[in-house]
Amino acid sequence: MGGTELRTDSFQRWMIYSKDAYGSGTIFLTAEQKQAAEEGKKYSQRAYADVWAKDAALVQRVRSFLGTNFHWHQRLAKNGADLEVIETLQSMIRGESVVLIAEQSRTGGAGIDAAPKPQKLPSFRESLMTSYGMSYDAATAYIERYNDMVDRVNAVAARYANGAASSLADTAGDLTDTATALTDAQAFEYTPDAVSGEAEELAASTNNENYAAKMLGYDRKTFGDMIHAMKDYNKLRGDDNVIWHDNGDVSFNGGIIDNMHSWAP
Amino acid sequence: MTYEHQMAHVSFSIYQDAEPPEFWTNYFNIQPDTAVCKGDPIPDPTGQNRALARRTGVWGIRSKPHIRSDLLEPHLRYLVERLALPRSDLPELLRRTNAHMRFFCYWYNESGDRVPDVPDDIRAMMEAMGGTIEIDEYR
Repeated sequence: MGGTELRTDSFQRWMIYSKDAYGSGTIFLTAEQKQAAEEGKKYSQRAYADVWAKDAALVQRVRSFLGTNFHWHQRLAKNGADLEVIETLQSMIRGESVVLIAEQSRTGGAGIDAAPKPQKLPSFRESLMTSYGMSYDAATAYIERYNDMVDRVNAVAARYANGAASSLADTAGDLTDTATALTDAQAFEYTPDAVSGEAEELAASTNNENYAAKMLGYDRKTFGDMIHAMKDYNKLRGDDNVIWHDNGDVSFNGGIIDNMHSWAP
Repeated sequence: MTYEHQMAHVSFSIYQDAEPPEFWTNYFNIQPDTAVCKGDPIPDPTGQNRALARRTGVWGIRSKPHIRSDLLEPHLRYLVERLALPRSDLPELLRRTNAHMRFFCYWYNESGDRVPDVPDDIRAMMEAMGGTIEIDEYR
């Protein structure tokens, strides 16, 4: 059964299939197929809908795929906004009615009709760098942080989805608590031993300067200069350990003493 | 001004809370690069307008804008000359204000084979006045 090319990055071509087409009419997928579908799901979850929506050729392929395979989406396929089309596809991949499969470019992919050689599309990183003007390091940090956040949000979502007892009100309450905690200075007094819930996990922090540089989007040399200036200003020794938080805050001995972005050249 | 990375540079800093920064500006008779009091507000770049405050008073000057060298000595010599060190009354001032005075040396050493070059005479002078020389190494 033929699939539709979604996009091609530096490593592989990603193909979308309706679930029926992917399973070739069989009810059960093989373990290998399941694993491939799982990987596609993750890939889709980690993608930014608005970045994909900017790729006109990609959006056109998705419109055609949805219109052909899912007749109830014909209106969307024809007239829906680009972003809505992409979000619908991502939601269908999440719900498993659509399967996203990485096809190694060197093999044709078992059982997959050879498609015309796709036009080279920019990778996610390239999209960030060209569309948003990010540096290579900033894009890396962005991708890593986004992936971590998606993993956590998915974990929370899965927990609520599985917990029959939890009401919508509880969920809303929890989310509010999380939001409050994120703006609360107390949440930054993070110690590994004190991890007790999602709020602390979301307040990403590190005492490793190389990781902090990535997290905050600076190259190592620039960041070293910034740390030096910050330590000079705050009467810290070179070997004093500080903790960097993902909003740029610097804490020392449990209190916020500075913010790294203030030291950007 | 474009940003340029240098493998070495040095700051001279005095930390204390007894006197305002102007005291040291008058004493050395030079304009500082850094002049803050304990409790001065820190602008909050996260936009949350949190009440963050400086933890210590600082008066300081930097070699970086003036000296271009990957070694420490030219940076240190520049600062010594600019500050007219040694000064005979400085140790007593530091004691009275309970101050910490230091040369804080940025030392980029990614290769791991660079040895910080602090001249003996400057080290001895700084120690005699009650200050320190600290190497802040980055690998």
